[in-house]
Amino acid sequence: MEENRKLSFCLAAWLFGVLLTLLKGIWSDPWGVSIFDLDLLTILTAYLFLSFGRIQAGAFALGQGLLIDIFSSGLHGLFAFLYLSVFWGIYLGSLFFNLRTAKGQIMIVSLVISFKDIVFLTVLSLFYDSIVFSKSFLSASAISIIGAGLITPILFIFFNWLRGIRVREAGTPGSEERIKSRC
Amino acid sequence: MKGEKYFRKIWISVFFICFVLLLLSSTSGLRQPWNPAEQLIVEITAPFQKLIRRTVNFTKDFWLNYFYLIDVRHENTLLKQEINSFRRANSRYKELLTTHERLRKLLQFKEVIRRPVIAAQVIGLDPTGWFKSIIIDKGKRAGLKWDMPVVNASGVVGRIVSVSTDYAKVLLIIDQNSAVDCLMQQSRDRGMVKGLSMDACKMDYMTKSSDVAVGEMVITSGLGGIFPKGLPVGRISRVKDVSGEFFKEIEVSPSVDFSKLEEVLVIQTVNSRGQESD
Repeated sequence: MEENRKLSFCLAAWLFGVLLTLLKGIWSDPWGVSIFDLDLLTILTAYLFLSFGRIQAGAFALGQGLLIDIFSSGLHGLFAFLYLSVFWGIYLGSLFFNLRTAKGQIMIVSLVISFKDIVFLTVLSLFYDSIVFSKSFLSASAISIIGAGLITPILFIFFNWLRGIRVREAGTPGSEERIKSRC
Repeated sequence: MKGEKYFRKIWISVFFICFVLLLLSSTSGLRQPWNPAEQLIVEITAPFQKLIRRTVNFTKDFWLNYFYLIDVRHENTLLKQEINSFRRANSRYKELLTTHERLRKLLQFKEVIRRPVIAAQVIGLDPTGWFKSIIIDKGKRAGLKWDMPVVNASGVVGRIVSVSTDYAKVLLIIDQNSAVDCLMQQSRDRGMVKGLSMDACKMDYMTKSSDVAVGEMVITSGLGGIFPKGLPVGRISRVKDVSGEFFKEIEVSPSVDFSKLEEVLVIQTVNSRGQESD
């Protein structure tokens, strides 16, 4: 029962990621800042890391990065690399902060998105002669770092609710195991 | 007994007639105010009159504002629905008109190019926002190949960088990876238009001796091997002569409005790299 629920959630997360990438290509404002600048893929990766483990989260990050690479005209593998760095950032962040607490979630997600942007600019500066920074990039980054960090605890609660996990259970260590044993 | 009763009735009648005549004779020709008795009667009866009047008004208003308005409301809903349907139709006609106008311009441009072209529709933009590319709904099946130039009625859009069976990715000229060999339409000076991933491009390698002016048209030179010669790329929006530099700093505003790309034309060229690979 619980395995089925886990599987459905993972599948839904993958589909949501794909949908998000496609929607970004349709509705995002190429010159401005939009809701799609909130890095929901990073939040989802963090949630999968917390709830399903490293393999699921790593595979998700790599897969979504590869999909963005397909639709983007940037360097091949750039976004796969970026989202893998997001995964490693979450892993490192979880060593220093508690991903089960709201504070830890905000800290980890905000820091990871900042790290992702730094990696992105570093890679671009290595492969391109000159990089032009636009105001929209800076504002989009700021919104992504702050906004995504702040909505992470809310989304984690929402994801838990979708999976039928109560808030108190989700916030305590070993909640997954307890639910499994109950089922 | 009977006669006495009859006599009394006559006297009473005469008394009332005389009283009325007296009253009439006393007020004829004069506008007398109410006497105290009349005033008393008025004071007693007027509130009832007022009440009745209010009741009548209330009933009338209630009828007009409620029962009557039920019909008005219904009518209003119908009219609103009708207005909405007209608005939808109007918007549809406007959309058809603008599409028609765009396609007409594309057809005119197609005549100018004098090469076989394939019309395609833009279905998506680059999801990252950093790079500037579009996805179009035509691919190998329609004869599209790598490096084919993509234009619209306003000018050069970009070139195909990836192609699948039914879709292709077009790198826009405003992307940082894009470079197009260009000519100034009047002065015939050559330069390289490069994207900045913004709504403007820069023109590199324009020597200081060149006679470039703001507003001058930039066209493709045909030397890059991808774009045919003479396609409009943009207009010079800024020229800066920096001391100590070999070349001028030139900014180009693209002819194409990249935020409103909907339909594009892919020019079929024989020397595209895809042809060789196939």
